[in-house]
Amino acid sequence: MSRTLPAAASPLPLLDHDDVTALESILSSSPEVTSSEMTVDATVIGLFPTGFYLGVDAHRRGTQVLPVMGPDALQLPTGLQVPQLTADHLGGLRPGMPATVTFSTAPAHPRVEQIEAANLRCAAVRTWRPSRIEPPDLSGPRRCSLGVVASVQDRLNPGLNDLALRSVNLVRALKSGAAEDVDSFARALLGYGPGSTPSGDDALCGIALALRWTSQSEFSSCQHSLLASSLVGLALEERTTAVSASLLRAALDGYCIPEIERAVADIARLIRAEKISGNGHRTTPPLHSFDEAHGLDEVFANISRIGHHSGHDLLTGFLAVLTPPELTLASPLEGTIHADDS
Amino acid sequence: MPTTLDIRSGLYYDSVALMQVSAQVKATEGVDAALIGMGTELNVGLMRDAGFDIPDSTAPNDLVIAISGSDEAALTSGLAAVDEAFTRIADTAARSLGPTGAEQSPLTVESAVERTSSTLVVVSVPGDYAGIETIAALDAGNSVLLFSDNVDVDTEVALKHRAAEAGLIVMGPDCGTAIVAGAGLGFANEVRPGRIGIVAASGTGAQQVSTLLDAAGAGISQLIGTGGRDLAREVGGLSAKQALKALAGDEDTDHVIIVSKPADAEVVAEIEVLAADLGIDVSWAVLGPERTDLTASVEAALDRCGFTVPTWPSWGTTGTSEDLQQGPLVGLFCGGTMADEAMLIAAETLGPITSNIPLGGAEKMTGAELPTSAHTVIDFGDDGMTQGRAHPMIDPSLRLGAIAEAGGSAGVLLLDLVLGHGAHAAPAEGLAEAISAARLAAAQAGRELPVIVSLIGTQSDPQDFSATVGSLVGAGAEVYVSNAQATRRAVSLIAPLNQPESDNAPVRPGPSTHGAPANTKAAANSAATSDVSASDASATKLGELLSAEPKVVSVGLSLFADALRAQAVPVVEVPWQPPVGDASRLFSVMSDPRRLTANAQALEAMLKAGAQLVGLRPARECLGLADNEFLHSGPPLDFERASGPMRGALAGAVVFEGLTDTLEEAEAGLADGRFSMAPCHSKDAVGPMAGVISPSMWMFELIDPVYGNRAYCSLNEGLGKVLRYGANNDEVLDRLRWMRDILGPVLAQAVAAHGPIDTKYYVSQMLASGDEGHNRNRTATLLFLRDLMPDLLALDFATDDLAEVCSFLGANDYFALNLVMPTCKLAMAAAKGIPGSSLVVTMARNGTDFGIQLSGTGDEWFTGPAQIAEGLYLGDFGPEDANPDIGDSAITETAGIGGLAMAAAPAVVRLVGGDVAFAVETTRRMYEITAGEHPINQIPILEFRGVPSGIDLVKVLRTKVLPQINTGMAGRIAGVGQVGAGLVNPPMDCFTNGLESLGQ
Repeated sequence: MSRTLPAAASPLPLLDHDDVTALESILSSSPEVTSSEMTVDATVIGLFPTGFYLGVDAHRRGTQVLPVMGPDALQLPTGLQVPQLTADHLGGLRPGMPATVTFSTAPAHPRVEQIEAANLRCAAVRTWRPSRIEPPDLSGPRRCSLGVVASVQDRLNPGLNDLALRSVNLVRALKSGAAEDVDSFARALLGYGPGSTPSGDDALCGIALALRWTSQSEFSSCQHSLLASSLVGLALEERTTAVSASLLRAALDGYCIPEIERAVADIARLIRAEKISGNGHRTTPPLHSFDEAHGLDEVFANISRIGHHSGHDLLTGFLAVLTPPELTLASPLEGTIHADDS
Repeated sequence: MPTTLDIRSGLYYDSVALMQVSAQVKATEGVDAALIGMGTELNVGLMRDAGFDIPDSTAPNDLVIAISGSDEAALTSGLAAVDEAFTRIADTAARSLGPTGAEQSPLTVESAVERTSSTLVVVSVPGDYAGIETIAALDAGNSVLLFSDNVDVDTEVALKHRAAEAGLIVMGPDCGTAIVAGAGLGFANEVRPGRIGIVAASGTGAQQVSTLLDAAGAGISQLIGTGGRDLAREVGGLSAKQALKALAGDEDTDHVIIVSKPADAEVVAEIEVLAADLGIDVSWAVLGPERTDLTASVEAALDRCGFTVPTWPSWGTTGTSEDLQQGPLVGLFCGGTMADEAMLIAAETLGPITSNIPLGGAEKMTGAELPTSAHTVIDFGDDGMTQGRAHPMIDPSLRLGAIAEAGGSAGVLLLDLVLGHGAHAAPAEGLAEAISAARLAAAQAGRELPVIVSLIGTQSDPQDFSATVGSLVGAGAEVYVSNAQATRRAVSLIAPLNQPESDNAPVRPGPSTHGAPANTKAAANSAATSDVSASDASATKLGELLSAEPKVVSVGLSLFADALRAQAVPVVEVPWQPPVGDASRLFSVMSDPRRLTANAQALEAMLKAGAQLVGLRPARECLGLADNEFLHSGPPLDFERASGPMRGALAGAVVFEGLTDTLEEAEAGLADGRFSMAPCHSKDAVGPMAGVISPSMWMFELIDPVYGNRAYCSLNEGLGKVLRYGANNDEVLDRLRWMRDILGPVLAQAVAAHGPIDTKYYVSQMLASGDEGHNRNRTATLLFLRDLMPDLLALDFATDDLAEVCSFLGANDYFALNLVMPTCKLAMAAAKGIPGSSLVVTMARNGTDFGIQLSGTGDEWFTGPAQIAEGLYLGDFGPEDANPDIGDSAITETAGIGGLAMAAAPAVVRLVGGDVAFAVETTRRMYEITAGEHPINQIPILEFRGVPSGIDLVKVLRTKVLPQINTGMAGRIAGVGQVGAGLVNPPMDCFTNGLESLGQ
């Protein structure tokens, strides 16, 4: 066994307390269960240039996915950080390879303590701090002007043509407070898209993050609660991939990758830069100035590196929350035979 | 149509990979459709809509592969293509480095910060250079842990002011301990999380306080070091104030303890007021004559925060003091603050303590011998004890030797042992042996030697705390977690010596001491010393430093990076070397408050400048050259120093103008000044190789529509024996006459008919097409031909003349070099003349000297000897035939193309030497010495990254990386012509000379 790599565990538990209890009873006679730790079997289920996924059979909730992230990986809030993970370590892994995950079974937060796969062992020495969206300090209304939304939206390239429309439908339902409509439109996004983090899920994450971002408003806070209860009621693991479900749960608590946190901070910067014209209307300074455009270029260069379309998909959902009510974000396909009427 | 389904459980691929697989499957012969995606409800619905019968048992985590094809064989092939694609993806995933290989390590702090989005830089380079690295980190937006010592107070104050202005903090200098956002920095202990923050102007003092808080179950939120001098009058508590502001906004902090050796009373008062203004609860653990005990300060803080003050653990204690020891107290310490505390406490009973760091009124040790009768405390971590050796926390050997010897004379031995990150990995065994040896020596002399140890550490430290206790107790020592208690225990065992009494309370020389400050509660109506509210602090980078996941850049000692890696903290090390040039001058330039803004302005101008070819005119018209005036490439030059090709070109130009009949007469006239010489750059012109311009020569005339500047360049003569390489025979002169009489007028009319030509566009197209603009110009030449041909062919000139012009242009791939050069000249002209800017705006060579000009120093040239290029030679030529570097064509590199953009034109290595990997590595290295990247001139193989733009003199001096120039090589004998092409750099002299001027 090659030397152990130090790792930082996520504060977001991979298994909840009920999962641990269920597993302990299943494994009760196994030597892998001690008073403070439990080791369970896992499988390498995804391999990427910057890290890999381990699948852990949580029995009660099916397979749960633990991202193991090297230094160049997107820092998924649910993942195990291994700053010294290199291509050489990854070269010894293959999808389907067996692995083990050791959890601490402390009552409050079962934490990933160690993983082993092939010749690789990673041991948690601390807990890391995932990026988290917090409500910004903005005076005045939280809503963007049409100018700010349009400026960002013009550059978005979501993975699916009608993603913006589906997002707006859900947001409208949340504002109306109609739980059945919320469930219906949430289902229209959940699992929508081909990849391991479907575009619809990314948009849902964006909506959840935006509602948290605006949660100083009681209205937004209620919408956030309504969304959370809807998603919990939908049994996420039955409708989308396990890794996406875990990221959705994290987003409901405001957790995201640093690139998204930075993009949101830049949007806040644009909002702060809004000027009040002489007649009291908000205007946005033109973005054609070199500095502003350059700043937005940086944002989108970062966003575009997040998966294939994930960053754009997430911002699509985020902006749907910030869109002024009077603005309809019609898909170019709306009203055509290609429109999705669900 | 036949279909097949393959459902695979427990496999994850991102959508890019699935697209790649789909594409490969669809390209398989006979396959009609392929849908590959995760089995979510919606995806399954889409697949069913497309006609695939997906079973109900399909789960969201299943990968569904649905293929339709012309026949069963096609389906089999399609599935095989799926497996091949996934296998290739898996192999690629494990080994992927991209088409250009691995990135090089960053060479500067700011480069590392940019690549990693770090939150903190650790600087541990020699003190003379620490200011340079620290200011670079601050300007890059990172706070700094400054471990380096021997940083003068003026530098410290300047750095701390700069940090405060930027909303950052400098922890140091001489700061070895911090705990920020859960990461231990330097010599820090593994302390449980809690809600008490520490601001520490003392490393081991901070470690004592934090480990006691851990032992009490309280824990800490953050530990921010300030450097030992911060609370002195000269520094004014600048970092302590920043630390307080940060902690006031930290959600995890309810109470702050300030730890220090004796501090300036006024500074303390200011901090007390600030704390009240910020509304933060503060208590003080400041050593001094009226407060000698850090443990007592911790106990007060615990009580204040509602914690039960514990009985501090100890081991191996006998609890009796009946048998007082004859002989002195001997304290041998690693931690300076522990030594200070011990002396303050011991002196209360024993009187002044002799030391290498004595308190006021005590005797200073001279020499290395321990006094045999005086009470003595030695700080082995003091600068005088660490000359040429590591700190005793890392290398304990010197102290261990002293411990073993102390048994011969000491009455009581008092020691500290500091655990934690950065300290010796297993110190217990060596210390236990030394203690045993000391006790044995005492026993052999018929004495019992009590050994008292204060163990500064926690159960979670990398060194095994319990095992350490066991080893020490096993060696006969008493172990305490409180240094104060350990000291008092040691003192209680000492029989009174015949010590002279002192009327002075023991004080630490240096800053004026004070009475212990009152613990500060939040109070209203205090005179504000700061207008920064806690909420502002949290919104600043200071807040981010404390709350965000730590990412660290380390420059200096690897042990800091190693300690961070052991904590799974991402850390990037910057390989450091002393910069070239005077360090204090370099720091002064970097401290210039104008510099960052000036560089940003210069860079922006350089990138925004435009370039349009608007016409051609003879030099006498557009440059105002008199009949006897001649221009040349490079910096100013006297004819007697001119190299062979330059002499040849100038003399040839004189004859061409008809001023003399012979070359010899021409040289004589140049030598005696009848025919004057000046740099092309002095007339906003550039010329390749010798770059000689005479009044009759036609000049390309370009303007910058953005900034209004103009730039000029002669017409390229072609290859072989040409004037610019110093050839001046009849063939050369005949060609020049043809260019004057035919080529120039034809092109002038053609351009006039066409209208302005955007040559900046040519440059971007060149880079996209595999040219770099210095030694490869084919793309631009062909674009020029394409643009001009319709207008040229419609001109009213003899057909033969037009044909000859077209043939001339078409035969010379380098023709457009003479358009690219003035295009680059315009970019740099826009960046010129910005006071305070350290960007290079001109690089030029005259065959004898290499000269540069800086944006912030006007027209001043900074020169050094032109170098001989290294490269490939034509025919039988060799290095002995080559002239030193010559030409204004280095304006292309100055503007970020040419050698800086070699990665865009890897084929150039066939001309100048090297290989493709070298070309890519070279460009990557150039990013380390430039201020930014071009938004339009991009390099496809580097994922369309903009060319490195804005060579910064400061970065060149710090990295010792010189700009890379691709160049032709002229023969050193006039008339030989080109002998080869190669790679060359400017001499470092240019940059050190520039530094001297910038710093004035």
